Amino acid sequence: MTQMSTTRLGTVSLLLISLGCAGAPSFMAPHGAPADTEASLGWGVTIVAIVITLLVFGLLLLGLLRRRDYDTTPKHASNRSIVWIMVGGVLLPAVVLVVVTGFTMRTLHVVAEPAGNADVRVQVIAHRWWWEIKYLGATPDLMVVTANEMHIPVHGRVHVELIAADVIHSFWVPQLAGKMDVIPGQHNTTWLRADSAGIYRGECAEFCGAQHAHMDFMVVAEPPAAFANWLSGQRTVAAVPTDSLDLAGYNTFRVSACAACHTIRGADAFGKVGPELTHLASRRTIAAGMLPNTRGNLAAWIVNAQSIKPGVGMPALPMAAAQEQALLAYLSTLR
Amino acid sequence: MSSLSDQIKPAVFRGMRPSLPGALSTLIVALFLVSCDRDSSRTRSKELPDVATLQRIPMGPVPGLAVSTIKREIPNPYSANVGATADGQRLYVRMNCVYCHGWDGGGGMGPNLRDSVWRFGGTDADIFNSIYEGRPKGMPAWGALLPPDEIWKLAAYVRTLSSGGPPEFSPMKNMTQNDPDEHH
Amino acid sequence: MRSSSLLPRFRLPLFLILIGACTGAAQHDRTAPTESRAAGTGSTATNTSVGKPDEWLVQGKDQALTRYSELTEINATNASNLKMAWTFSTGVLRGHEGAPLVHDNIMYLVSPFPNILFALDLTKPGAPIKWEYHPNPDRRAIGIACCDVVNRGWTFDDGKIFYNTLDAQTVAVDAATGSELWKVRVGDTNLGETMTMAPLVVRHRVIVGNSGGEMGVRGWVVGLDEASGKEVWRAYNTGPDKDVKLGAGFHAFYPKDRGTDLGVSSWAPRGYLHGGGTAWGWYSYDPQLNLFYYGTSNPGPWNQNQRPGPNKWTSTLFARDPETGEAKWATQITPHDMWDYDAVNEYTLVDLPMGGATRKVLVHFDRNAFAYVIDRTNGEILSAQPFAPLNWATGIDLATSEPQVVESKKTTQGVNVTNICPQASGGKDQQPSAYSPHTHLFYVPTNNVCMDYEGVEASYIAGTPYFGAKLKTKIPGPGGYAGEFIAWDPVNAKKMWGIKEGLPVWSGVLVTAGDVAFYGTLDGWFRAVDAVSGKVLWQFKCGSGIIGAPMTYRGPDGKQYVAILSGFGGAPPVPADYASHFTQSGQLYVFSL
Repeated sequence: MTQMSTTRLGTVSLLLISLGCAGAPSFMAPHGAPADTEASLGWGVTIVAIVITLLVFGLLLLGLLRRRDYDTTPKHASNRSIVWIMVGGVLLPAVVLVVVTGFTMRTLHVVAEPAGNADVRVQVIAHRWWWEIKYLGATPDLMVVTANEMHIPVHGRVHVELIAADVIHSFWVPQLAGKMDVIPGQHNTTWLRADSAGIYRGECAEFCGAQHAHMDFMVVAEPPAAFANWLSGQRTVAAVPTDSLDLAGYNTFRVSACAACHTIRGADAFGKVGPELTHLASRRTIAAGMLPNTRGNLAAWIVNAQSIKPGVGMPALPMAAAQEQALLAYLSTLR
Repeated sequence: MSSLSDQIKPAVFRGMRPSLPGALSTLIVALFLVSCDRDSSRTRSKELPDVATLQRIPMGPVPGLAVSTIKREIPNPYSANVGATADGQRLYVRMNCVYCHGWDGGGGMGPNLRDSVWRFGGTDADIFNSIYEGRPKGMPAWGALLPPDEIWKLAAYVRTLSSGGPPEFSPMKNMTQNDPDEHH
Repeated sequence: MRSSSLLPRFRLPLFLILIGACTGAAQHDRTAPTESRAAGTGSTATNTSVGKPDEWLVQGKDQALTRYSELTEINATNASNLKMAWTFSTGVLRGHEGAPLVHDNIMYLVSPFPNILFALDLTKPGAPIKWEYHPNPDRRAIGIACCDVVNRGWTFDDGKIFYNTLDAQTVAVDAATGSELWKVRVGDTNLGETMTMAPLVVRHRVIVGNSGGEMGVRGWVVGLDEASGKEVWRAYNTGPDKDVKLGAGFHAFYPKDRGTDLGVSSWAPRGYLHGGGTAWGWYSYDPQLNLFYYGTSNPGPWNQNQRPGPNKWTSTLFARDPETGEAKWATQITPHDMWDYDAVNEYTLVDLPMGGATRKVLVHFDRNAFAYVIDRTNGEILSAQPFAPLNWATGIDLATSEPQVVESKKTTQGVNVTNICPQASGGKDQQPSAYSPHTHLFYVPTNNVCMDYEGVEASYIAGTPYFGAKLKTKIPGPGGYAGEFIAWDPVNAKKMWGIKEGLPVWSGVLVTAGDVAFYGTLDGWFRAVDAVSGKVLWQFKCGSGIIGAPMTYRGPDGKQYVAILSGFGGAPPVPADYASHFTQSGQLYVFSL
């Protein structure tokens, strides 16, 4: 594929297309399949469009500069002008469109998920406004559930099943794959393959309500061994704490609102309203990519999530400072 | 199917320099959101009533001659707030209320909430207290689980149920209207 | 469990079950006449009888659960002359399930919550109350019982009455005096556990199970010491083999039911802890094999997407040793049940000529609308044929025991799957059938109701329903009738005749050596039917719908009586205007010639 993201031309077209977000992950700079093929198409069409635009504007400019004097005498088109129209207005666009269509068809063919078993199968459930991510195991009890942070092995093919919990969303990791809508009642799938390790940002690409803009996730591509290690770590059950402060937090979690909405395997908490928290402390962000996962941010989120992300499902939970400290201490043990 | 807002999102929400079309789109979307916000549950009419005050409201009559000084009429700060009622409806499903009181509030394992009968009083404060404190035949005390703000939203939704149309039928609904332990 | 409901709302069924039989110390006074009448091929050869033919000591009449009486005074030629002899009101207006028991000229019956035990003196005119026993159960149990506050049955053995209270306690009461001998708490209402099943009392064990499959409970069966009430063993129906009591002696017939800790690995992580599989149905017992049989309820929550896997051991038939609780074998009837087709219905023990040889089998009319004949020595399914309208499966693969499920009838979260038959309450619910060794036929109360079903994501919150489904009941089902009382030939898997009803047939059944079968309807009719021809011989309109089970006994005056409890409740699917035509009651009716 063409890699010319540093060129000025590239920057200009990027701005035109994405309405200006230099620094954000770009689908024009892919790091894996099927985004690479799609980027080739994107670049190809962009270049063609730019060339044609320059050509048309060049001719227009030429026409302006060479304009004739005002003349009311009716004229018949000369042979020369008919050639211009036939070639420039019919033949050239037809050729260009056929070529672009062919290119597009080929790309559609190529980006289809290859046959055969994927290396990793993931279910992604889009909620307002966060992403639930499930890894199905050989038996159901080996399933791993996490949120807003999808780990994948580098070079591994990842099959993604997309499920909508409420309204229409769209799953988009610009550097790895094109958008795929997530529609209630509709079984959509997509696939990913990262060719280099790294963290790739994903986001919801279909307006889904007030906090649509804060519905991000990240794809962490890591070497297969590290991925396997992560997966087995996620399968472990949260231990009942022994430290008295942690234990107080554990009990707070179980008898307060927390457990009604969140799951922690090991704490007998089976809430399904919000994200599973069994390994919360292992995640990089909270609130669907909105805030780094720090103790301070978590504290603010627990006490008044509504002021941070108005309308989110997490209610404001005023609680005594000591109680919250214990809760934070417990949550920090969930690695 | 990227929508308008998809395209403007990066510019608007990520602190990048917006382009002109982006800014215009943003304006339109912002106006839209602002108009929606009139119903938002985040706007309640007044401060939340003090829970300790609510808890002093007796369930039955007050004995003796002294006229009760306790104000029973504490209005729901979310009454008639459409956004809060919608939040309350979501809670009604997510906190499993729906499986006892019915998807339409017509009752089942628990009492019918659509009729005009309130076993433990039908004022806003009574409804709040029934949810907050629980009731003797299996209604859990949600005060231990939900913050008062959420209980008021739930109460606002419950209030709307009683003015609804006829419920879908449940044989349990009728049976829950009599007390099996009134035998004693 | 079930629920039935009609509406979205109420749906929770749960419960339990029961039945029982007594044996052990009661053995000495048995007259065991059953065998002599069991001529022919379809008889009950194993002696499972309890008490004299004149009496009725356990809910199923015997440990095989045949509900067959030797009495012949009332028979097909004179049943049309039946008249009401006396009535009795329990004073409770809730669903009245179960059959009264009679021993030594005392009739015993237990009301729905508050579970009052009445002893009626049959030697006096009008059968006045001899004594009452009040267990005073916790009222909090009312709101966590899915399917009304019923009690499915009580059991007599060795001079005591055993039963469960709705708030999950088991009591033993002196049958002569009404004094409480022991009362033990076996379940926790704070976790949503209630109890409604009838205990099985065999080998000095009182065996009981919990209800609450709609409340996120974990199903179990407990063996209590008959003398003290002390818990001797507890077998869970989900979880690790150790908890389920699958030890060295466990041998499942089908490969799908073999493996280590399937009760854990067939669930999402830790899902088994709140996975239902309660044991609220009827328990039968084979004294020769020394095994008792019971089925477990639906998995929880109802939303199947939250519980990938076969969800063992829910909707499963277990054979266990009553003294230790150890399982001998298990066959999962409906793996990954996504329609609430619990396997709790009665497993009636009979010996049948199957494929040329007489086999020890149990016959089971499952909620999933298939009638199973299963070898009770090892769990092998010998036949499985539809006995009521169904469309969720095309058949049962006898080689693997797996139902062949119709793809379009699989329920799914977020999708309203329409017209699934039968409805959640099944082609037949817990209302028990009867078997006559005289006609070699089963008499089965069935339903014909369908449903729309949509899975909803559910959170487990202790003490609240863990349900996750929106149900819409379609009544009546195909053909325009909602229930049918049928006579079923178990050997040929064939319906011999049926009486179609406008409402589900939700009562138990009694059949006698006089070739009369009795059943009741939800619109209050109590009927006597010719057991051979299916002709209605006599009927009587009771005050309320009938969900109880008829029984018969010989009174101190030497006459044969038939008794039935009338009192609509439980959770049968009924049409929307049902309540405009019928009311509740709690009335016992006793008839004689």
